[in-house]
Amino acid sequence: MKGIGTQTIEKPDVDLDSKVGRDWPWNVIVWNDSVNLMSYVVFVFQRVFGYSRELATRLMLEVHRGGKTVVATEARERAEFHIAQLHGYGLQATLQKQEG
Amino acid sequence: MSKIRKEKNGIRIALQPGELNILRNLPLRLKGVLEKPDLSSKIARRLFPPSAESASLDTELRLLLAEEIRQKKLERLRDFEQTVNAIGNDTSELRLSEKSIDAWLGFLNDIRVVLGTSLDLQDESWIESVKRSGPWFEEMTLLVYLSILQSSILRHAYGLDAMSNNDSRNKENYLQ
Repeated sequence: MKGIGTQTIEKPDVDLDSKVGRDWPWNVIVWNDSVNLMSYVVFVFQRVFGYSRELATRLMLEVHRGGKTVVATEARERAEFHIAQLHGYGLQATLQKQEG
Repeated sequence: MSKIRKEKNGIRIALQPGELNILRNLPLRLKGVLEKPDLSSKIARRLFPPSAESASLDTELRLLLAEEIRQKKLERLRDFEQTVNAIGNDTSELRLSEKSIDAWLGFLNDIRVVLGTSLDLQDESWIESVKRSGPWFEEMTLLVYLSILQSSILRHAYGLDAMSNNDSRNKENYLQ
C-alpha cells in the first residue's frame, strides 16, 4: 500500500496490566462510518492500541469492508478504557462479552 | 489549501487567506453540544454513540464513561481554539506540537462527524452524489475542506497517505 511509513505513533503511557480484573474476555468492536477517513482510523488504532501500521491498516480494512470488526479482546476494565478512547476520537465502538 | 510541513516534534501549517476565519469559527459548532449533550438530538447521539448493543450494558457504560469522553473532547476543542487564536495578525503560520496535532485531529473529526450527521450522509460515496448548489452546499464544502485538512495533517505528521479516492482526490476536485 502506498505511503506506509515507519513513523511511530506513541500510545499514552498508561499501565493497566496491574489494575485489570481477571474477568476475560471482552471484545472491543469498531463499526464502519461514512464520515471517518480511512487514514484517520488507522491513526486511531495505532494511537489507542499501539498496533503496528500493518495491523492497524488490516483492521481498518476489515471495518471498512465488513461493516465492523473485533479490534481487541481483553479484560473488561481495559476494554472499557479503550472504548472511551475510541469514542473520544469519534469512532463508533461497542463492548461485547465474548461468547463461549 | 494550507501548506503543511513536518518539523521536529510537530508540524508547521501555512494557512491560505480566509482559512483562519473558517478555523476560528469551528469551535462554536461544537461547544454547545459538548457542554450540554442532549441525547434526543441526533448530533449528540453520534458524538456520544452507544458503548454496547445491549441497552442495559450501554446504560451502565454511559454512567461510567460518558463524562470522561465529554471532557476529552472539550480538552481537544480548547487546545484547537487556543492554537488558532494564538495566530497573530502579522502571520498566517502556526506550529503544532505532537499534543496539539492529536487535539486537532480529534477536534476536526468531531466537527466532520457533526457535519456528516447534519447532512445525513449514509455511505462513503457521499462526495460523488453532492450537487454544487442547494441549501446544503456550504456545509458540504466545509466538510470537504476539513476532510482535506485532516488528511493532510495525517500525511505530513505520520506518513499516513489517503487510502481511497474518498480520502482526498475526489474531495480536492470538489473544491475547484
